[in-house]
Amino acid sequence: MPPLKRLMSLLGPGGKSEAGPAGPDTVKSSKNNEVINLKVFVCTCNGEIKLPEDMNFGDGVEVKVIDDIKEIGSVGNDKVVIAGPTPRVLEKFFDSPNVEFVNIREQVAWVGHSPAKIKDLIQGAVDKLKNSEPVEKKTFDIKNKSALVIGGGVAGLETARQIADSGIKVHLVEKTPFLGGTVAKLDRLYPGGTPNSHTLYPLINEVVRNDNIEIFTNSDVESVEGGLGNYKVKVKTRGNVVEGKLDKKCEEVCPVTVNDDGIDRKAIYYMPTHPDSYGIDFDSCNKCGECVKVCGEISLDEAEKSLDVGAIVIATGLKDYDASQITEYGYGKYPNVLTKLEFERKFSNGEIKPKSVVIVNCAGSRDKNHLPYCSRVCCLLGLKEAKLIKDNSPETDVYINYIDMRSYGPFEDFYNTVRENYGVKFIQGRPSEILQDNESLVVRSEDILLGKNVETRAEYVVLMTGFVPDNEMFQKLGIPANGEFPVEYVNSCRSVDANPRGIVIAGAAAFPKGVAETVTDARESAVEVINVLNKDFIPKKTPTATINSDICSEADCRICTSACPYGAVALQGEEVTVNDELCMGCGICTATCAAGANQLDGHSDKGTLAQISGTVKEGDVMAFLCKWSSYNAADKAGYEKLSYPENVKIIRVPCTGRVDAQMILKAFSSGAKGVMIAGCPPDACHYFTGNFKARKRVTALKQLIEQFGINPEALRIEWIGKDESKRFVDIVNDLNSGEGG
Amino acid sequence: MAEGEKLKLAICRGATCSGCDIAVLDIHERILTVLEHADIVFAPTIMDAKYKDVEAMADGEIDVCLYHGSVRDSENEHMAKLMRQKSKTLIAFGACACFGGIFGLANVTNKEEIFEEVYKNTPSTDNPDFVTPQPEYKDEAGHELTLPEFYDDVFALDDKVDVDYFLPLCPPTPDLIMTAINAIVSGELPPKGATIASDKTLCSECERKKADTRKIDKIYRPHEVELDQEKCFLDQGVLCMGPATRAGCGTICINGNVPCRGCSGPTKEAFDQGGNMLNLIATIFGVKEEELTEEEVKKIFKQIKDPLGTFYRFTLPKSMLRRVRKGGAKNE
Repeated sequence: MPPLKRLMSLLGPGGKSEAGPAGPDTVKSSKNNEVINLKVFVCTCNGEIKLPEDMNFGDGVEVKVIDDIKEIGSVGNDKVVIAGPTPRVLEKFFDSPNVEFVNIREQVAWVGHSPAKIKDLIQGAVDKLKNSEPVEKKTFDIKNKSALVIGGGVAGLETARQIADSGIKVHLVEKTPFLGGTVAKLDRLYPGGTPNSHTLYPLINEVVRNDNIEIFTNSDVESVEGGLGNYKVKVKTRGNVVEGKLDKKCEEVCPVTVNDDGIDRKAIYYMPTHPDSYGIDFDSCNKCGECVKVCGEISLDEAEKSLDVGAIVIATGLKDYDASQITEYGYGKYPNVLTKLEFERKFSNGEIKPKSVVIVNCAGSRDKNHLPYCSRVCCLLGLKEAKLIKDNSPETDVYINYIDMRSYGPFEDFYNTVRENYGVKFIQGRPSEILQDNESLVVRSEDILLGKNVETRAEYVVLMTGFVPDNEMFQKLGIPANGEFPVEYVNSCRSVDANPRGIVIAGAAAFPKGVAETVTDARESAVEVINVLNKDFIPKKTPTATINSDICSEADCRICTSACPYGAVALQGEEVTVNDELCMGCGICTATCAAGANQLDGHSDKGTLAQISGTVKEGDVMAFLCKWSSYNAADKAGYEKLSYPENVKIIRVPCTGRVDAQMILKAFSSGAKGVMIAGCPPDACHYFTGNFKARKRVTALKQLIEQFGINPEALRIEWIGKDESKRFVDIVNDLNSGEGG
Repeated sequence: MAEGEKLKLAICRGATCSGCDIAVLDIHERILTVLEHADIVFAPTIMDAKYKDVEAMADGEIDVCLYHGSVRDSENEHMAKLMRQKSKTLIAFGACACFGGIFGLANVTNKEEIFEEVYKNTPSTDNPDFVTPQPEYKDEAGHELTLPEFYDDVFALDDKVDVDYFLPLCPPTPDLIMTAINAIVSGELPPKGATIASDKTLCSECERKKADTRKIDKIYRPHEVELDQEKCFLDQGVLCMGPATRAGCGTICINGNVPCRGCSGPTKEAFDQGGNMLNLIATIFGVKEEELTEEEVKKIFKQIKDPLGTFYRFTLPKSMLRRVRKGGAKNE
């Protein structure tokens, strides 16, 4: 039996809203109970807009008519309604979350609607603000002015160099014993075949020389706590070798031999990058201590260091797809079937001198059984390997099996050169299988251009496998990636309306890239970090959702965590919380919550419902338009002087994903004869899936309202792009005529 | 209340199944403790009582009245108003009084349609003249007979009279009833208008394990699947009203491996329990939402049989939708 005491404690104040569960008639109650001071500025746009005679919006509302919005001046953080031109214009001057815009130019005057409509629209805005909690402008404090860069490959090195050049301290953490990353293992880079030393050596030298960069090799980021501007990081270094002590003895005594992407080496080895010493590969080292016996400078002891940083760059690169998964290609079974990196290293090292080679592009790529996507750079890497072979051994026969040659942009020239000048033979067709026949391998494929099946015999086969992300850091730092490349995270980071992010992803960690693209990307990432760390605080750009712990606690239903497209709403310990950095302010989670526990700043349930009942009159058509697309289409109808019925009332929403059942039902119960929700075209939602979620909700709701005897066609969801003003007009006309869709 | 003086308690019934009366008796031997502190002055189900006895009482003479059932006809409304007048504290007792309850589902139709069905269309009815109940009837001998007037709508108690506290659930659990009684006896009453239950959602009290990613691919009715006692119903494709429902019942249905049907009503910040729940289900229904065509989306929602009855089982008279049908967009 639950103890009575516990139940007694539940009898908190305000156990039920005054209006009961049916919905707040809070406008009335606020009139009765208290005087709210609220200013309404109504701009005539220099006499262009004719105003209604009745401008009384209730108690405590002060109305000021102006001719130019510049007369308003600063509004601070006050609750203010500004009626005038479209919010697209007004947002250039006002960015307070407590300002409610009313569009009486594009959506009233310019479409020939009467001043009476202005009264309704302003009333809705007034009612909304009266029923909304004032929103405090949030800021992120930037306490720590240094950066952590994870990964010592080209991306990490270039990002670190750029940040450090601007005077900011950088901690560069590399997992392996040496800087250089994947590029350090390559012989050459496409298209020309420039040895990596051209790019990597000067970059490493600049980084090592820079006093603002502290380098940790053979080190792991153990833990990260905190958020933007204030991270606490633990870095663990797994032993090291003192620089400059080059003595091959340690390598000779090491009993562990490792195959490092095609090249055999010991667990203690040398690599001509940095540091200039032997390094221990602790993933293979068995800590036998033989090397320590011959060299006193070697330490196998771990060391831990705590760092306070303000921003983090993930530049951990990528991994090859496991070629043994493509069983029909015989990798791991036939010794002469190699991956691209293995082949390049063995070949340039002189270990193999093949007479004939088949290069298989798209090995496992664009294949729903393996990697559904295109890794983008493998076609070029295949051409690079072909040229490498031909440069050194023109007599070797080289074939490339490909599906489509994606030599995008300037690389078409590279493709033409390899095909025309180097005598490489191209077979368009994905091999079905690779077999061993005596001494040679047989590659079976179709040749689409010849229209027949072919068998190509070769001494070696090189599999151009695609790439997969290195997920370790994404998981550790809570980057929503679900085991895939964090494309959506990167895209949303770079959206102009995004909040500053404390975690930036640079280079091929975000998606496969060539070296030149990686360098460009690293510079962009560095700018993001510098912009953050040069400030003491940064205002938050978007409204955020907050979760009322009086209603939702102890892990609760958690459905909002699955609705958030950004992973911003997540379980932290026992409670669902919203990460202010990741939240983009779409309101999808707010619309999802069935308990009213999740509210979006500036678009709360109470405020929005009050706005709807204040705006809608009997027989109106209510249109909820997304601010990114459809609302702009309605504006365009204004400056094109198109006409649509005056009883079409528009409410601007951050995303159709914010529109919930309560809002739609409120519109109907306030007298609307039709309700339209219109958002971005499919796959083009600013918040990825808000429009699809809205479509599901509306589809479900149609079934429900039909049970109530409402024509389901009176409720519509539409995709209206920003230029589709005529489509907007057609649809609202249709809804207004009552004939439905 | 002076020392030693007993509370005067009334239990009044509106349109009710009487389960709420039984719920009061279900507090078991604790009723003896209650009776030490209170005299039951009016309770038609369990003792002989006449309306005129109540009418004869002074205003405010009854200390506490538990009103259960919804307001369906003029008799219910008369009694609701009478009990309000005669009682210091009026408590909406049970889901019907709080939200209209199961009876409220009749709000999808109206008096005319109900009479047509009951007094004409049912197979066992033989009523060629379509005689229906009339509020007043005078026979040939001049006798005047009256019946309560049957309303078009079913109402919650607070739609008709001022209510002090709400005690939801269908029916209220003995523990919750004792909480209310203790609060009354001790005088430690919550602010007027409070709901005597939890502020949190039912999920906050439910100990079932929830999946990391919340999604529903297919909806099952409880009899169609073998239910895992440890896992959240929604993760098993079974509709459970928990996320849209106020806690306070002690998850008794869920402990019995039966999904929540929402009898505790919405939380204080939610304004349409049924719409909200449907909305939430729609959000997580079908994972690959971007790959679905309009027709496929329609098809998956056809899996929800009777959305109105499922999602508004206890709260239809409190839904925003009810008001729609009176005006606005109508079906042809």
